[in-house]
Amino acid sequence: MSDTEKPATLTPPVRTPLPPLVSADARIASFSAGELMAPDGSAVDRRLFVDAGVYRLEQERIFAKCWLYLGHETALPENQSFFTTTMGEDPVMVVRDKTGRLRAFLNSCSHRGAKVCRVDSGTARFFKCPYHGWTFSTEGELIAVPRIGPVYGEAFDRSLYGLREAPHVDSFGGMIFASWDPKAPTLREYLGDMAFYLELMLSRMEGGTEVIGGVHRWTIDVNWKIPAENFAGDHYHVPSTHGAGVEMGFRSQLTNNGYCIQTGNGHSIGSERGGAQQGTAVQTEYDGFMKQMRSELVAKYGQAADAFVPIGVGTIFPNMSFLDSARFRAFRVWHPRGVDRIEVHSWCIVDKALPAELKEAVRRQYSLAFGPGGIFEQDDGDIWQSVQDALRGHVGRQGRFNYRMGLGREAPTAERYGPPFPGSCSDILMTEANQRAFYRHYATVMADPAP
Amino acid sequence: MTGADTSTVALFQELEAFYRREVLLLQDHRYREWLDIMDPAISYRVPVTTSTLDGLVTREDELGYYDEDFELLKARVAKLESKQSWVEQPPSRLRYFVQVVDASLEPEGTVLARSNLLLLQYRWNMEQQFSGSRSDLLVPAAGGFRLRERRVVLDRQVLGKQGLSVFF
Repeated sequence: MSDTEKPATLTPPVRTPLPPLVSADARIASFSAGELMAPDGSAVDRRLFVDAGVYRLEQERIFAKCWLYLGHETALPENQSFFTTTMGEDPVMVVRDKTGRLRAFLNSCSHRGAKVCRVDSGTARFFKCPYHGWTFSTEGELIAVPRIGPVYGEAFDRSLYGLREAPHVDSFGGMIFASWDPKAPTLREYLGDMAFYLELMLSRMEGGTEVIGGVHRWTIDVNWKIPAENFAGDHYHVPSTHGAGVEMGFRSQLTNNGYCIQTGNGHSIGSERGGAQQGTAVQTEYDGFMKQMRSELVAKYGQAADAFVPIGVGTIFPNMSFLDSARFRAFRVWHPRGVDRIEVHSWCIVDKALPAELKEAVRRQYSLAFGPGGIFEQDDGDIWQSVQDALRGHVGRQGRFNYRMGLGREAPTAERYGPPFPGSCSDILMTEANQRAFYRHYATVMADPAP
Repeated sequence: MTGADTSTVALFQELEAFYRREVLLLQDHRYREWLDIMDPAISYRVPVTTSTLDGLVTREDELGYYDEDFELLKARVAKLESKQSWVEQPPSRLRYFVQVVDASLEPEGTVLARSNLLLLQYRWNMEQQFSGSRSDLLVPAAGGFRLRERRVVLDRQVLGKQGLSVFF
């Protein structure tokens, strides 16, 4: 409550590509932006995580506009393969159509709304709605209507009743994204400078990456922004939340040697030197493979590039996070399920060229650490739920969270690591610079347009 | 009672003794002792289920909620023993119900046993239930069986709430 909210005078002028300061007068749902956060993102009101009006507006301005992660291309191995997921709370089917094109449809019949697909994944020539039998092609067209002549008449125009389709579906390095916004920028523009770091992570070996089969799914009773901002740049929680993981040797004690980089548009990554999960317990051959990748990157970009294998933990705004650690690589989406609940979908990604035995070992390391019962995941989830529980009451929703750690220490990444490395970066690992950037971008997206 | 019946009864008695012991170890959180009933070659898997047009399927090469050998199981136990293992601070109350539904004698005295599992968990900030089907391969050892292989297929598809901290 007693935050002294100095504006960002310590932040160097615009040469650091930070998202714009939050204009205190802008409207966000029933609030002024100044009520909800400090202009530089260094304080965020607790109501942002519990207010139903804010949540409804997020569904419109964030989840129906931003590019959202759907899944990996290798989960759609052939034409007419599909899987189901959600974009925000909207159920979608992601389909590789007859011609191989990636498409995303609202999983809801155009007639009365029932789900036309009720399984996780498979291959299908068409989707038949169980309610009245309207049937749709893998291109989303309405191809059959039971008793069409007798009940609708011969003039019925089926072409008007296709499945609702996301206007933009695209992929980057095998990762499929979609946006519902007809005016959305291209995926490449949306990712911006984060594309550089994603590429470092996804193109280490010839042939790219593939997803291991199966999806880990579980729920956490927490607002979606709490985990999204955690993966964006909360390294400070590691020694306390994950004390057990340090104690039993799965990871070394965290140092302050590393980077937190934000690249604009709310995207960010961070890593301690050498990557998370460096430890002596239950090791695999992955270590040697990462050393090799590190030396190849140094040969390409110079000694400073040594710090970027693995690339670290990050969030692609709004709700896709990744963890490229010293032991494995995982991707996850925090699907909102109401203001105080998420459903997590999580995958393990490996390089296609990795030997089969090592793929299996990496899969197990990922499950051990960050599956739903992971020795790191289980403490994060438990603590995040306790955050949400403590915000429910009349008093608990008053006041602001503090995000002042490392304030004013950001500078262009290139000044510290050399010209190819974009974004802004702090000189210490334990900073909340990335969380501030996340909420500044959030406010930009959420605010009503200026009159 | 015929000879075959006698041996079936004896087998079920032995199995029930094994599972009674395991139930106590698990619901009392005595995980270090639980490791003692494992064969060092243990393969302990709780695969994810995928809903497909052909029904619910599980695959050996896909993700598991648990996907462990002996070393990884020991690592999990070491983690849960830490005072900083917040997910179990304070510890859950657990209640295991195991019902053997099928068993067969295999070569070299090994036994394939199928059982139903019902587990109730009450943690400081939530409660949940799990049910599933266990398939175990048990090998004879001094003082009873050792667990060589376990596959548990859980009935729920989205795995309940955060912080999975129980063994099945």
